Amino acid sequence: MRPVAPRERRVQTTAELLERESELESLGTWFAAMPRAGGCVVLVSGEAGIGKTSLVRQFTGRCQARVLWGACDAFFTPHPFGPVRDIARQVGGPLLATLSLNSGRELVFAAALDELERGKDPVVAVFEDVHWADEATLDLLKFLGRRVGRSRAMLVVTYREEAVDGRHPLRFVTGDLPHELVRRIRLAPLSAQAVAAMARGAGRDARALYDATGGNPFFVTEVLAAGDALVPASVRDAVLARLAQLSERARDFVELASAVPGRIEPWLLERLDGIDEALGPECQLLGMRRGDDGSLAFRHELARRAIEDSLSAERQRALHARVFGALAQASRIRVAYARLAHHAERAGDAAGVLRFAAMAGDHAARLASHREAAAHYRNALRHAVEVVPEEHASLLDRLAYECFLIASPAESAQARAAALEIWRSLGMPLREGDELRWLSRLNWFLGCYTEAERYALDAVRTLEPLPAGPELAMAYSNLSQLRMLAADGDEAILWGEKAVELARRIGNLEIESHALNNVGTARLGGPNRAGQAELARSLELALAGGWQEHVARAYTNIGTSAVTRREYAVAMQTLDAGIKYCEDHDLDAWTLYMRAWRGRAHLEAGNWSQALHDAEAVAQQPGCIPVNRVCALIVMARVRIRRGEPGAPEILAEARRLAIGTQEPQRICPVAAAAAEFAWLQDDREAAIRDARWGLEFTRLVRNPWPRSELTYWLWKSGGDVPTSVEVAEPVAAHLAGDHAAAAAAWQRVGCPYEEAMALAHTQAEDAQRRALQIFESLGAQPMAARVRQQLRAQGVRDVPRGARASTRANPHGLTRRELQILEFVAQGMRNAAIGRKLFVSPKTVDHHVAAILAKLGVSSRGEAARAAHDLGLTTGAGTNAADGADAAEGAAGK
Amino acid sequence: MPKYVIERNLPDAGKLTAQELKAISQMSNSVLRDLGPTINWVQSYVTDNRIYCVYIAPNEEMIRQHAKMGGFPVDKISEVRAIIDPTTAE
Repeated sequence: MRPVAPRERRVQTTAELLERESELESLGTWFAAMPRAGGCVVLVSGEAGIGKTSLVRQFTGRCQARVLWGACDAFFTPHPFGPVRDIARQVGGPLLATLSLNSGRELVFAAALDELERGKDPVVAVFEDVHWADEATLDLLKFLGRRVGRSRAMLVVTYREEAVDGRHPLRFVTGDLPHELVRRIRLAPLSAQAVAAMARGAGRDARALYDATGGNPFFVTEVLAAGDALVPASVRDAVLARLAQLSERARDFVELASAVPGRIEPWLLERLDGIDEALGPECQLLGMRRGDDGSLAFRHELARRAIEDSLSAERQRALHARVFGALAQASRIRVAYARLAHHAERAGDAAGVLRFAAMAGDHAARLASHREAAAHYRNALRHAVEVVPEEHASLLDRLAYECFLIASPAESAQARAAALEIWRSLGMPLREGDELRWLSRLNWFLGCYTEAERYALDAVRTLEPLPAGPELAMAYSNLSQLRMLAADGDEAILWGEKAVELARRIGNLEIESHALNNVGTARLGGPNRAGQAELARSLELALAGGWQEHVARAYTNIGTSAVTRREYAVAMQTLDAGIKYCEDHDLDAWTLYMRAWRGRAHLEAGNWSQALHDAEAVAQQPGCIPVNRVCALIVMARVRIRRGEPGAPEILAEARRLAIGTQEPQRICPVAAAAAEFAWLQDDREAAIRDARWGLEFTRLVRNPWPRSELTYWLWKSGGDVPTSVEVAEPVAAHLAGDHAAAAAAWQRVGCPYEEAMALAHTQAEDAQRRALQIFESLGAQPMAARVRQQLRAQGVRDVPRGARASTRANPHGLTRRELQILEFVAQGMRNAAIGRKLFVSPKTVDHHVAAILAKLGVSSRGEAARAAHDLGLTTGAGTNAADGADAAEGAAGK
Repeated sequence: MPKYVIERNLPDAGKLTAQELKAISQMSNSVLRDLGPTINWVQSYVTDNRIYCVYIAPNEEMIRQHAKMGGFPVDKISEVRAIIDPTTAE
């Protein structure tokens, strides 16, 4: 062993902080602004070894703040709330209490938020290496990030750029944070000059050092510390070169330590044979460091990995077995099951994995870290060779449930099918029946209606001969739900009432809530507001019982059936509330389902940019299930069709395929209507008639007249024979009766501007056609606008308004000059009547312009429009507050 | 006022550190303050996987409320009918 020159030691501690002045200054500026501007989120990213932690340490060392620090560790499957536990140990109090008690995540979140808002000093909360974070921690970051603006806390989040690809869950967190609160620091490698300066200081070849390290500060430090004349080719080589300089005993210990991700606590150090204090200085030479609490850690995860990966598989297994043994021995100390499972797995200890992965799964599931829970159960199942069949099936059931919650129905169904076989072979019909019921539900999620129905009937058949209990009640309710979704109201009510009756008899409120939901939804659309009482009762029971999924379903069914009845006010209100509830409770599958339907409501109400915003968010979701995707695709296709943009046929083709799989009228009818609309615009009447007829076949059982009306409209519009006895909604009935002006008025009352304009365009009256043109223009419906313009010219009308002016294209939302002018007045808080007087037009015309402005800006109130105008620099911003007042006074003016 | 024994299942409860036990007790006290003077915490026994607590409270509902607010598990609440010890034999 060779003594190390002090110069090199100095280099070691400073390389990561070279050329970081501007980043430190930014951090300082943001920190200083907090008393005025409120808290913020700082995302610090860069490759491994770039110096993220060093930068943040340097910053927190300087600022006058209470610093909370939590780090994520590189386990196969992370421990739920891993970094939050570090912070909890630091601060104690309610945060530590909620975590120690495995309290619900809402309480943990609330305690964490309180921690950020407590005390006089501002807070800097650091979450390190969140590319390894568990789902619960990421959800907490999202929760805190959305609220940090009101506090004086800075959330600093570091992650490795290269570990976070487009589908990494962290992307969804950062994408969901309020943009105005997010600051980003992306750390770059050191410049050639900085590396050269360091190389000269150490008497090394500057060019070779830069070429090999690419300016990665950790790599540079390792190379210089290794002290060899030759520059190693990789970080790994540099670390190993340093390792080679240690004594054999020290090397043995360092290799053992390399099996432990994160830090090695003092109690673990004690239990790991082979460490003694005498090795301390040698370990420090390698860059390991001692924490304040006596724990030992590698200076960087890269160093640990380099050493661990250099060992033979056999040696790794042996070391992990030692670590596992030491952890398992610690009978008085709580060790995270995830950590035990990690080492058992690496040690090849199947029994250990099975035991601890299953426990880790249960723990993660309790804390709603569903992604991790599923990973643990999967892992346990991989090692479940010598396990009793009941335990095996039970693990499959738990995996299936977690997969269902993280919207992976295919994997969930696979696990259920495997569990079904086991229960069957064990002769346990009750479990078998319950499994069949689940398979039915999952197949529905997978868009396979036929299978869903077969399993549903099998479940009822299997359970009916047994003593009646919750399994049978749920099987009835599931069948009711399927029939309800298939718009078979009579059967839905029949099975649903059986379920309600049985649920009441056995005193099961949860199943009662579920069944009432189906019955209520099936009754909707009938006379005397039928069904609403059942739905309201269902929601009430679910909220009181805290059955989140049933709450979500009640919101969903109230909201979506309002959309199908074209009651947009109720639909928006319910879907907004439902989406908020589901976001707060991380019910992602439901959030997406409702967002897809909200997209449809926006489309029909003429808010196309908002419609696309919702629909695209749903369609882009990885692993988006068919029923969500089909709804989103139809919205995307219809906006393209109506705007005359390319791509609609491809989207429609996929939507048609998915819809046919579901066999449900609520998916098929909108696809058929969209396809008919597209064909009509292409002047392909035959195809339009064919598609409209196809959709109409599915409306026979549907009580709600709207789907039938829409398809009948396209059939009529395309010149097809419309049966005289058909019962349709008011605007379509007016068309069929030849009163197109009445149809236009009816569409306006319903709140569908595109359909209103279609009706106006159908009349031969010039002023109606002009108004149609105006609406089409404001919606951005180019194909129909062009048609109406042509019609007007063909009728010999002069001064037909031309298409969008150049000025429209200059501003991003495509506002016309008149709309810009009106927006400015709106931003000043003026009402429609006043604006009308100024511009010599009627308040109604102003109202129409305001509606178009709101649609183009994608906002829902005049106040928001004023703010948007201000943000875009379209107005001076004066009177923004007054606009809020006017908004309140005029109600939902402009809509 | 009735006295209750409450059973709270908590895996590895016996391994809670002194710091964690302190935090949990603080949490309980702070919820008790919010609930007013009618509910009283007498004592708790921490075993390997379960905590047994003795409370004096006007009713079970209040005990559930305390657990809900503090995030404590509640698996069973039993009303104490009599208290005996070696001297009861005399």
